[in-house]
Amino acid sequence: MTVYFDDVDLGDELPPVEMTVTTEEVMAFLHVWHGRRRNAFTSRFSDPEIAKKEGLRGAMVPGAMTMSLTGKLITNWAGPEAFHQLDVVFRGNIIHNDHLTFGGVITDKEMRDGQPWLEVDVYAEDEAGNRPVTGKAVVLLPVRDASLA
Amino acid sequence: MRRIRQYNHEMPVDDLQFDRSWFDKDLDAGTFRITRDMILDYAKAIEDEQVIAAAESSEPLVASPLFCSILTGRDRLPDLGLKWGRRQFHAGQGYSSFAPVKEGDTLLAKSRLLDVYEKTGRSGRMVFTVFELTYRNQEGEKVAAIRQSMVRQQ
Repeated sequence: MTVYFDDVDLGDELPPVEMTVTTEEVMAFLHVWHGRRRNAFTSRFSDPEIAKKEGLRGAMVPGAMTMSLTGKLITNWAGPEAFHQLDVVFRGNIIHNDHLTFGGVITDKEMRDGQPWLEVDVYAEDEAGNRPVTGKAVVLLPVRDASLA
Repeated sequence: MRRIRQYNHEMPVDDLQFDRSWFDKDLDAGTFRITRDMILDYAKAIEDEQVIAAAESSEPLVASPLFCSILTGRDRLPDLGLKWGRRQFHAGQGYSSFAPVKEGDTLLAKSRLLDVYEKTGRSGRMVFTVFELTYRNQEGEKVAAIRQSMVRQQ
């Protein structure tokens, strides 16, 4: 279902996305992220022992993957064409098999340079209520009422 | 927060030693031929059902919007020679999408060192390095830009 610029407002919450980032998915991401790099599968991202030596709870999810998963919050809601920009800060570590809820709330809505511009505060929250990822997305939605454009 | 060297490379240097000559230079970071497998493998890793479903047809695939994220693991970034710190983590990332990436595209990546700065927090001193990566397709069209911030800690 198409989400229109006309139909959203400040304070609207995006439908949350819940997921458990499995070891299998992380390994699949590492495969495509690192290609044939030799050390791709002997790092804090793949080996819990290496991760624990670095003081982590276990093998961690790469930031690039977390970024991609955060983007799904936008694309699941408004489609891939709506995605324009995403800035995130990694405030904590996400470990394999952590269960996360990705959420967002619209914080700005305006026509900017003729474009229907939305800003959305986004986050990933773990089961303990921590937010290891926070950030802001820019989303460009289609306009139903042409007089707005 | 104390900026180390951003725009004026002649400022006195403190105890951080790194190669400041990389500032303000656009460097080749790699050339990437985008295959159907790369697009599909990425979509499967992040469970992008739309791309996975599109792969059922024989039409050329359009990649998920943040596809260039995977190229950050393959890009060649210059060695700053920054010896400080024992551990390095991803501090943050910004992604701007300008045009779709499609199967068969050849993307040319350029890197630029934007900033090196330090902060002191609860866990002590931290040094941040910020690179921007830009990706253009075979027609010279900018498809994505990624700002990647890494933090080093003792």
